[in-house]
Amino acid sequence: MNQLLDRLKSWLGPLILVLAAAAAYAKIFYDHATYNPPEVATLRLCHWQLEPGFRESIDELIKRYEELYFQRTGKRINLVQIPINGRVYPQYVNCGLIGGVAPDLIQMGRGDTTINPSYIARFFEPITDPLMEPNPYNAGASLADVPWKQTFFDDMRGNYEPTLLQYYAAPFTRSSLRFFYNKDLFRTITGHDNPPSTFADLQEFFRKVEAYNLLHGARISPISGSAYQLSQLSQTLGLPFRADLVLEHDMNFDGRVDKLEAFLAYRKGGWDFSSPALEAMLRCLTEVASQFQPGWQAALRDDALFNFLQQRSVMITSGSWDAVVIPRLSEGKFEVGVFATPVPMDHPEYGRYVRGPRNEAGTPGGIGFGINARSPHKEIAMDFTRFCTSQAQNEWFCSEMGWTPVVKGAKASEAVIPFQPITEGFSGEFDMDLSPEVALKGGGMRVSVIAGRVPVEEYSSEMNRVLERTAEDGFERTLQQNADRIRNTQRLFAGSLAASVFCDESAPSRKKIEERATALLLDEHRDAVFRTLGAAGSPEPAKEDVE
Amino acid sequence: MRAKPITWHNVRSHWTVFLLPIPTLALVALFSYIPAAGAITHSFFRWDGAFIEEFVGFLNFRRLLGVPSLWTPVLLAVLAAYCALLTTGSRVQRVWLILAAIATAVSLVVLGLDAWKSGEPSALGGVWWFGLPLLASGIATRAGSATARSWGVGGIYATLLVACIFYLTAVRGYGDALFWMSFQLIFILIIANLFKMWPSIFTAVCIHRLKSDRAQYLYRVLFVIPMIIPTMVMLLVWKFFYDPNVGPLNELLRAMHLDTLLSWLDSAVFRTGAFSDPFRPAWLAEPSLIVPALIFWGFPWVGVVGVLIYLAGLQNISGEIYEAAELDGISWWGKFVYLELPLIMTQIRLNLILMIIGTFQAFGLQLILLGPEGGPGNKGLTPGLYMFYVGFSQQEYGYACAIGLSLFVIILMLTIINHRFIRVQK
Repeated sequence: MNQLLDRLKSWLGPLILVLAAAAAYAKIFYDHATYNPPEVATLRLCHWQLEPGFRESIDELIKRYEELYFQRTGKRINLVQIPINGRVYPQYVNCGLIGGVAPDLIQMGRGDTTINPSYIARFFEPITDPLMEPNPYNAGASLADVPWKQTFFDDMRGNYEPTLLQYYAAPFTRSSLRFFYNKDLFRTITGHDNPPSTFADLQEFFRKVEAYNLLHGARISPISGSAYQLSQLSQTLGLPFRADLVLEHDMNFDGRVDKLEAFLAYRKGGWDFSSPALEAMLRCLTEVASQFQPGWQAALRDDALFNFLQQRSVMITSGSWDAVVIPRLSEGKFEVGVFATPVPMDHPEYGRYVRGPRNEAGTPGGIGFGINARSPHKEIAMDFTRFCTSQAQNEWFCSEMGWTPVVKGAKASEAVIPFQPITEGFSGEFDMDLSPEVALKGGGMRVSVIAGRVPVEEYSSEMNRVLERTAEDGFERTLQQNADRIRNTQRLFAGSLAASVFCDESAPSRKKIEERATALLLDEHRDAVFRTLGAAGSPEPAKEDVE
Repeated sequence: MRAKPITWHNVRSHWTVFLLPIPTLALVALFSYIPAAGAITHSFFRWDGAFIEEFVGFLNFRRLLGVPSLWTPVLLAVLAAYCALLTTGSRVQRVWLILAAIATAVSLVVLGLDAWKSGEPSALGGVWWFGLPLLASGIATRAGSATARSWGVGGIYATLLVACIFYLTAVRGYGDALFWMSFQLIFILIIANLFKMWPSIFTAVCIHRLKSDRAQYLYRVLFVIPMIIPTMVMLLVWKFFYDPNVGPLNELLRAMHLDTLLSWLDSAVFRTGAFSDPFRPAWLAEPSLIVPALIFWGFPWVGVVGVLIYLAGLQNISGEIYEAAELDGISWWGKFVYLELPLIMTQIRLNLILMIIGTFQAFGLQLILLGPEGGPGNKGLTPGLYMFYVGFSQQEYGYACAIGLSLFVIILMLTIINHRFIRVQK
């Protein structure tokens, strides 16, 4: 008996291991059989929207679509959403797409593979042709016979991929940035209800908060901030400072100065980090960020929101996506108001560089899902996108989220009225990250400068040193990337042309391919001109020459 | 017992034994060696990880390590050092030295050709500056007098040292400055980690000296339990600990009235502005506080694995040695210094190697806490994090492979130095 017990004891360990492995396998097979039976198509959808309510609303859309699909076809499908933290989303998507295991529907806009046209052309399915047809889910509505493309507020102009001459993602919403403020606290401190409409008003408000704190021994900060809020202020408050730079150096009149144009302008001596406009922009941002709560540099987006809800700050910057969330969270505690960021046109120093607020009329629709070209269920993915961007579903989704709808005729909730786009002012981008080193160094130093830890002049001279050392390499690298993109796109066009020659009905028409190939040649020519100019170190050409 | 060579007869008669390691070897090759070989190959390519794959020769290394004119003096001095060492050591060691010398000479020729092709005549400039002293030292090593020979060998090593210093000074201007900047943090962390190893050693000795076996067992179990806590949880706990507004560290400093002292020190001595009024230092967001925060990380620095490894070493010490030492009237401190410490040197060396490798490869902690740029002022940028940034954010996988390969060579050299200079007395 003892011998038997000893034997059992010696086999107990391996036995537990075998049983555990068997149980794990059984669970995997059971789950697979339950949730992924072979007859059920499973689609995955990934995004980085972790705002409260987004996942629930997407789940509801999925549920509605699954039911509808079953009623229409008699087949079951399983749509699974994968929310990923924004910080690791680029790596997740890049690895997934390159490795061929990415989800079927992918939110575009983060990670090189969803931004860089050469990757988009390779990894995503264009939706240009379906966009020209009416959206079947608009049947019975006023948009029933309107091509899908024209059902969007901007006719999808903002989502057009000009390099590839294609559309790849249909947006779900559009957004704008504003200041939210605690009306009760604001009234207590200032004695009135009018939010700041000019930069001088904003400065006056900062002074009043300081006086209030001194008088009452309080520790209220004017603005609740974090690096997330700072990036928003960099857009609303920082971008107008670059208006003159964009107007001066935009050689091909596309409304933005890209890396190549910025390099040529730099070589000509048109700008560097010591340019008065750029230094003034940093000083202005530093002045506003000095009104954030102490330790804001370490705070996350949620920490800043928590700080605002705890009434330790009077204001917070955020976007239209929080139009319902913030008032809901502050319900019963205080009343919330919204106002546009005042730009310092009236300021004696900054006013010289600012021509107006940031224009939002051209802001494209956001949260667009691209269809993975390797997905085995591209048709279903396309159909789901159509379903989500139909008038009824977009209205329901945006009212649920408190967001601004993108489909014409879809009613916006009252909460998003203050978020209507600003149609005056300036819009344009100036890409200063001429090399990865500039981007990395600048990204690391910018918060320190704006937090007042590093003087603006020190930042400028350090960044100028990096620029001087790496700008030329960066220029060469950008040209190389453009050449890669053009080469890859040409290969794709060659494939499409061959398919159209051999009467593949799904292939784009020969005329369309030729149009796109011509545009690509123009791109190639432009880069050749830039390469010559960059190599020769000759002065910037007249805009007409480049055109 | 001397190991016998494996004969064909042995394989045939005990083939089942030889079959057993095959799955392990196959998996190790599949998941470790083949990717490593792929990384070495791709370091010579411009590769975006997807479809752009273009052979670029040494371009990635030139971008990372600077122009060949910087490398040639170091390689030349290394070659001379190999030649000088040829007169010493066993036959096997001499064969290895000859092979290494040939590899270095080939590298020099390849570099020279590469520089010549790319029209870089200055590549050979360093040869004259460093070649002449090396030649003179080499001639001296062949002289009849022992003093002249030792001066010659000394001259070669001194030139090697100067060449290395010259390289490390100049590479920041001509190579990838960010990569070399990232080593600053690594060296600070390695020095700090050398001190942070001691609490684990002391803890292991304390447990080992417990009289009761039961108590010893209990402590061992207590040290194993934290191992089941996921690293991510520990990371979040520490992140909360450092939180400027609600974190316990600032509360603790305030409760101990150290806030006044730190604020005074900052305003009078350091002048970083990190400890302003109100006292809410952002430990992971102030450039001047990031490095101290990373050093303080994990306080009281009692590593679970480290303690268990030291304990295993301590348990191997025979009781007779203790008895003999006690008869000699050894104190508790003497027991530690003259008995336990020398006898667990194998374990200390192992932990040292693991620590150096771990510190050089570190990037996860910095990525999650500070972001891919290494936080404000890039103060938390490590070579591993830079490699990650270049690969996964910039899609330059070929260049990231070159960084990885360079990092591998540096770690290998440090491990060899560690192995050679930290002697274990049995």
